[in-house]
Amino acid sequence: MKIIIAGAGSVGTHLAKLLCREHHDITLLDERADRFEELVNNYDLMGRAVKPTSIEALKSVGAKDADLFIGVTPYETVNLTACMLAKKMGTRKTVARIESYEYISPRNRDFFRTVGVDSLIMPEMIAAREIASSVQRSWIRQWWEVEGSELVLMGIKVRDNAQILNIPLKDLCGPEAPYHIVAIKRADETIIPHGDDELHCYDLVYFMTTRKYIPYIREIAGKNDYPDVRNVIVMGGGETSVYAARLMPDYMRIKIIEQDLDRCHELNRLIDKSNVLVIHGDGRDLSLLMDENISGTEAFIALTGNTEVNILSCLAAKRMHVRKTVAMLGNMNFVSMAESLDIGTLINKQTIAASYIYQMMLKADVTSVKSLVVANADVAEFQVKAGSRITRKPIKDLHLPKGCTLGGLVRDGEGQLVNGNTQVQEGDHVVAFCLNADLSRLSTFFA
Amino acid sequence: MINYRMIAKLIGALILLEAVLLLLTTGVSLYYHEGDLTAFALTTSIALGLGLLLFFGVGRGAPDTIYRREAYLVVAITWVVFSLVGMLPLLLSGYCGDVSTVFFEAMSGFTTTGATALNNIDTLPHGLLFWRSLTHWIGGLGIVFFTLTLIPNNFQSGLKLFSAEASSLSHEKIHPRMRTTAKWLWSMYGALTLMCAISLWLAGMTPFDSINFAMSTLSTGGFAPHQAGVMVYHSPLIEYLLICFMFVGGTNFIAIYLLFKQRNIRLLTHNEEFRLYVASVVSVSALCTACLVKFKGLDWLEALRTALFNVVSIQTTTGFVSSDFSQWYHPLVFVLTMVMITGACSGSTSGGVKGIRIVLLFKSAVAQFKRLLHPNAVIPVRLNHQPVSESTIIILMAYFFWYVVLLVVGAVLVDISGVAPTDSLPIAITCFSNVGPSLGTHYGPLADLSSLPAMAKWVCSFLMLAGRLEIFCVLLPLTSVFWQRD
Repeated sequence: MKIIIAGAGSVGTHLAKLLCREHHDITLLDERADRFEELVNNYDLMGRAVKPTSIEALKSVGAKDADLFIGVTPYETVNLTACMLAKKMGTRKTVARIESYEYISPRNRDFFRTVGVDSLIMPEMIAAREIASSVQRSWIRQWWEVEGSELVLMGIKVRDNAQILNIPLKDLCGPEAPYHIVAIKRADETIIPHGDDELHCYDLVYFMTTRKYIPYIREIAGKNDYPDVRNVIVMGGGETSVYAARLMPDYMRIKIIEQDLDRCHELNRLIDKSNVLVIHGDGRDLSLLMDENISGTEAFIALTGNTEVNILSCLAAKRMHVRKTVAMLGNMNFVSMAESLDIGTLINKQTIAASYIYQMMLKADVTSVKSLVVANADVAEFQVKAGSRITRKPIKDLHLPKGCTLGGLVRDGEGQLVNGNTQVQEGDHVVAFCLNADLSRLSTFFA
Repeated sequence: MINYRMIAKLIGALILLEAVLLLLTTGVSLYYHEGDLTAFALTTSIALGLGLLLFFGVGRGAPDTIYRREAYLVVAITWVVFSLVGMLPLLLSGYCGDVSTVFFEAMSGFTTTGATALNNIDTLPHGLLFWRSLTHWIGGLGIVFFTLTLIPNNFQSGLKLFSAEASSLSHEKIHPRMRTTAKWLWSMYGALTLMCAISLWLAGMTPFDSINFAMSTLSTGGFAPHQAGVMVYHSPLIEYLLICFMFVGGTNFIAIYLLFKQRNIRLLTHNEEFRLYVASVVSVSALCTACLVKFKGLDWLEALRTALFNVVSIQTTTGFVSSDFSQWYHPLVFVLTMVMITGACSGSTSGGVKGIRIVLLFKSAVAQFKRLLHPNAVIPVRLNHQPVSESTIIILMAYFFWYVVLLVVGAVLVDISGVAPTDSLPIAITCFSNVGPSLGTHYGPLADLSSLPAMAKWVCSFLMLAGRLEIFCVLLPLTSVFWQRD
């Protein structure tokens, strides 16, 4: 596949690395050569120091016969313009990263298609959605639902009060158990578990289950003492904070701490909810946090542009007995460190955006892909087509690629778990868990 | 410094327009052949002469650009000069008494107050009655605003004049060009007045009365061509019609325009000012209805109509009276006084503090409690879901301060002139809010103010002007800052 990526910022470079592993023809455009220099030296891709909106430049990099054009510069207008130009020149599919909430609304989708932009992504919005849902289910680290939450995948950190520790999985959950453990993250290692594996204290366990068993999982994982979140402190008033505050339910009282006074006024203009209070100050200022009653707060969300600040303030909040902390990471290098420091949920806009775009390139009809920041794995939802390989045999005889496991499926609007004897049928929605981005190999089973 | 030539030129032009209006009234007077014809002919020629003198004589060669200072001065002077010229027919015809009375009457007309200092309205010639109603109608949307639609040139200055006259908090535009906005508003105002006149005529009024009532209803003025006002008709239908049109007169005209244009009722129902207006009319009317039934023994329907008519009348600051509401039930006087002070919507023809200011004052006052608990929080005061800037709140507080000061000073001066304390404050309030009927003990809703001392009439005239121009424009030329060279 021939792919042009415009903008060698964090999303662009992350995406380029991801795609490199699958041997695509990748051309990275950026006005400044120093942004992609290191990448070009270490990865098998080409970098060009040109303006993404230049017609000459687009011609010279071959927009005419490209399969995909991805506009991920920091500027919405540049991305849209570049996509329109590339599409007119003959690129098959275009994706633009945008900032305006208005554009992403479904009723404008056809409009953007007619002007030559096939898909729009808004990393801030997707990140905000994850933040809002993680705060609502504070005992869950990661949450992923399929088909209107008929089937649910959730990552839970088990501690010594869990009932399911140190039991071989073959004894713990047989084929008829109401849940399925699809992956375990232990220290820095992600495991696709087998019957003899056991759960240990401080493992991050990924459960696949159906909707009605969620309270049961909460009980066996020892999370019943977790308080429901009613008071939230958000540090940093960026775009992600705005969308997250809008998405959080009305019963939560949200305090947004922002350093810049003008931005505070702007936030009041952007967020019109009576449960949101904008506070002017520094989120690292302990006395301010005390004033705003941080010890009575159930969730602390650090969303400043500075990864280190986010991690440190989450640690400080933990010390003041805030049970749920969420940190936004701009720098992927901090993921394992943040995880080892036991910061609850980690949000990374780059991975979110990259996996979103990545999903569009898979040949099969993948409806959605979520990249799990912590577990170095992807979750994908496939729609099963008539005659695809997966429908031919029961799962245990299919020889799925190593590192892939099928969690469950939704058939006729009803969620069920998958075991070796399950026969996948046409029309099912299947949820797969993939390690090390083997997604494209798995997708051949669904083609 | 201030360019007097240009001020003279602008005021000359405005007086020429008043001459045209006087000419129209002279026509009415000619039609009825009554004793006021010479007065109107004389006034028309005086206005014409004065206008020509100022426009072509003093104002010749004046520059076209106008600065902020001049704009405020022009607006303030215009209203005074209009009233001075407007009182001449009343004075010269000899029906109406001394200068203070006729000036009060003219000012009450242009500011759409509707408080009358005359006690012989039924014997007045038709020309004078028509002139009183016409002053209401012109003053309703604003004298300067009226002329803006007609003056053809230099629109740069027009805009400055307009913002000096309409100092209300929100400056909405419905068209990129001010002039087109003005034309739309005037056509709508005219159309509504016509509708009102026709429906009143169909309901049984004489054509002359229906036109007069229509002009003073839509402008939320309150002059009637009869001493007893609407009570001479004893017609529930007429009262209901007037309730409807008074209510429309108290609604923001730009909102009505947008409602017609975009056919989206949410523009009104989601407007907090309009909601306060409706809520206030409904709740106070309900309260009054209950009191009328309980204490006055009226049947429900009549009580409802009476309550609704009088409450809408004072809420919109029209000032028609169909019953002596100071006698309904005494504690209601306080409620009705609050209603008078509040007034209806900004951008309407009504007077008073206006709903938008009450909403914002209330919200800023409530926000203060939250600020005490969260000293670092940035707590916005929202109007229609949008935060209002802090400078707007400061203007609002300044307005409120001067409002209280003027009201107290006005009441004290009225009191000094020899009016009882139980009357001086109600009279000051009714004049300042441009309502008309007062809630005093001697000067009740049914009384006229003809027996007021001359000094009280001058003070009240000033209060009416200050209320109509929303204080700042009137006070500014009286401050030393205004006359400082800078």
